[in-house]
Amino acid sequence: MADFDSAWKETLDTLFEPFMAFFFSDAHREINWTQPHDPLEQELQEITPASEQGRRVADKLFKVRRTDGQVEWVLVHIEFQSQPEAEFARRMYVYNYRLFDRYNQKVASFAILGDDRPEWRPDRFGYELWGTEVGIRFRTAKLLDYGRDEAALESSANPIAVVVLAHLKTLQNAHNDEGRRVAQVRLVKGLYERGYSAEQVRQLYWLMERMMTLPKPLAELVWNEIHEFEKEKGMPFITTAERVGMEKGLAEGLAKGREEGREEGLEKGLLAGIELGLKLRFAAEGLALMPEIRQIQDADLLGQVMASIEQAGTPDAVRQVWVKP
Amino acid sequence: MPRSSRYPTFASVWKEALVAYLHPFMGFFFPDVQRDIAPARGYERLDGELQEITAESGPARRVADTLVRVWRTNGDEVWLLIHFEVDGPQETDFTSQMFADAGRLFGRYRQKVAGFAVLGDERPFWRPDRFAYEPWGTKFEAQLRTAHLVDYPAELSALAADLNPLAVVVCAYRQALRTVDDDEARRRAKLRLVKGLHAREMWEGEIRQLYCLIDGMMGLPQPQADLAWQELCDFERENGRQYISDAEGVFRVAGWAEVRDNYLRQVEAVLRFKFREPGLALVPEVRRIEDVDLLRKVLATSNWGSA
Repeated sequence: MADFDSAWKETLDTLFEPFMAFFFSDAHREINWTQPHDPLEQELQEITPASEQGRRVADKLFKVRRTDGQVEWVLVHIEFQSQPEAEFARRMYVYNYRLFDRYNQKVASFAILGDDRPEWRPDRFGYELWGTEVGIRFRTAKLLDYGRDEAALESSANPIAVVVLAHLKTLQNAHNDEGRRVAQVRLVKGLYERGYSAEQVRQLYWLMERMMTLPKPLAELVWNEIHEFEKEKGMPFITTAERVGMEKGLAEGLAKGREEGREEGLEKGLLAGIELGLKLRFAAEGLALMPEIRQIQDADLLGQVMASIEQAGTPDAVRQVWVKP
Repeated sequence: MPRSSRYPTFASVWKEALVAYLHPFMGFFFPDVQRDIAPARGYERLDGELQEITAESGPARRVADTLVRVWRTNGDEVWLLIHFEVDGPQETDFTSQMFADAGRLFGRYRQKVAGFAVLGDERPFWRPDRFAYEPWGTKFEAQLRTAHLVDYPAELSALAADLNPLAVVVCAYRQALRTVDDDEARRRAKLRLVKGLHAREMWEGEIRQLYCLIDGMMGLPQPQADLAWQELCDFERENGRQYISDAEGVFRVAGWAEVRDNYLRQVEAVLRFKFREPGLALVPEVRRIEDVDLLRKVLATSNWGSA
C-alpha cells in the first residue's frame, strides 16, 4: 500500500512555495513569498467535518499575503482516490462555506487529483434554481496529465517534479513491488544530478521512500544500492548521514547522560537514537512505535530497545522487547 | 416617533404579509417561479430550521427572513429563503449572508435553497443581487433573485388591474415610507388605500386582512389616528359596505398579531368550555393557524357546532 497522504502532507509542510510554483504558477506569482505563509492548522481542524477526520487525505490551509499586501487564505486539498462524481466537489464546498461561515473568510481552493482515472475531474459544486445560484469553483491539477511528459518532469528544477514522478511511478506499479523498487532507485539516483544540497536530497529521498513503500527486503536492497552509489559518487548524502546521525544521537545521549549523571539526558539521547534507527530500518511503520516507546521510563529497557533494532526483522519484533509475550 | 424606530415594524409587518400570502407573493414578484411551484402541495414554513441556522448570526437582523419548503411542478422539493431588506440605516450584506445560509442549510439538511430578496429601500440604484469572490480562477458565488420595490407603483389606482393582494401591501409600504415624517400625508394616503380596497373585487375577509397589514405599516399618532378611523367609518357608511368599521372592536387594535391572539383566546375558551377533552385536543392544531379570517370562521363554527 502506498502511503500518499503522509508523503504529500509533508510535501505541503515543507515545499509549499515550489508546490504552488509547479501547479499554479499564476497564483504563485501573485503571492509575496518574502512574507511568511502560515499554516492554519487549528482553523482547518475546527471546520473539518467529523466524518472527514481520519480520512486518508492531505489537506492544508495557509494564510498568505499577495504582492499587493492583501491577505488570502489558500486551501489545498490532495485527493488520491477517485470517487462518485459529486462527492469530492461536495466536500470542497463544505470546507469552503464552513470557513466562510466561521471565519468570514473567503478562501482560494486548490485541489490535486492524484487518482488513476483520467476522466475524473471535478472542479465545481453548486446548483442553479430559477436563476438563483449558489456554488464554488476550485482549481485543479490532475497528476496523470503530468505523466504525458516525463522528460519534462525529469529535467525540471522544481523538487515537486520529483514528488510527482514518484507519485506516478507508484500509481503505475501499485501492485508491482519490483517495479516500484526499480523506479525508486532510478529516481533517487536522479536526485544527485539535479544540484540539490545534501539536505534536499535527503528530504526528497524520505518522501519517496514513504510514498513508494517497499516491502522490507526490497527496501534494504534499495538502501544498499544507494549506499554503493553514494560511495562511488563520493556523495554520501543519504546513507552515511543517517547512520552517522544515528550513532551521533546515541553517543551524544550516552555522553550527556554520563556527564550530567541524569537519567533524562540519557533517555533523550536513547530516544533520539531509537527514532533514527526505526526511521532508517522501518520508515513510517517503525516511527509509529515512537509514542509507545516514549512512555518507557526505564533507561535500561530503552537501551535494550535500541540494541534490538539492528537485528529485528519487523517493527513488531522491536515491540517484543517491552511487550513481553 | 423617531424615524429609525419604525423599521422593525416594517420588517415584521412584511413578514406577516409574506406568511399570509406566500403564493401571491411569488406570483407578484417572481411569476416564472410561481408557475413552477405546485400550489396544491402548499408552502410549508420551516421556522424551526431557519432558527437553527440563524441562531448564531444575531436575532435582530433576521426578523424579515422566511424559509419555506415547496414542491416544483416536476415533483422536486426545493426550499426558498426569502429576505426582506427594509430601508434602514444599516444595510446588511445579505448576498454573502445568502452564501453562508445556503451552506448551513446544505450542511445540516442536505437541501438546496433558492434565494430571493425584496429590496424595500427608495434608492433606485442600490440593487445588490450577487455575491462573488474569484481569486485565481477559483470562485465563491451566490446569485439571488431580487425585486426592488421602487419598480412598483405606490398608488393603488395604478395597480387596479392587478388583483394580487401583494399590490396592496407594496402600495401600503411605499406610502408608509414616503410619509415617515408627515402624519397628515400618511392619514390621507391611508384613506386612499382603504378606498382602493373597496374598489377592488375582493371578498370581505381579504379586505379585513389587508387592512390589518396597511394599519400595521401606516401607524399614526393621536389625534390623526382617531381622525383617520372616523374618516374610514364615514366612507364605509356612505359606500354602504362596512367591511372594516363593522369590526371596530377588533380592528382598532394596532397589530395583526394581536387580532390573531384575540381570536385564538376566544376559540380556545370555546373549545375548552364547550367541548372539554375532545375540544382541548384541537387546541395545538388551532394554534398553528396564522390566517385571522380562518380563525374567525373556526370561532363561528365552534360557537354553533356540536363537536
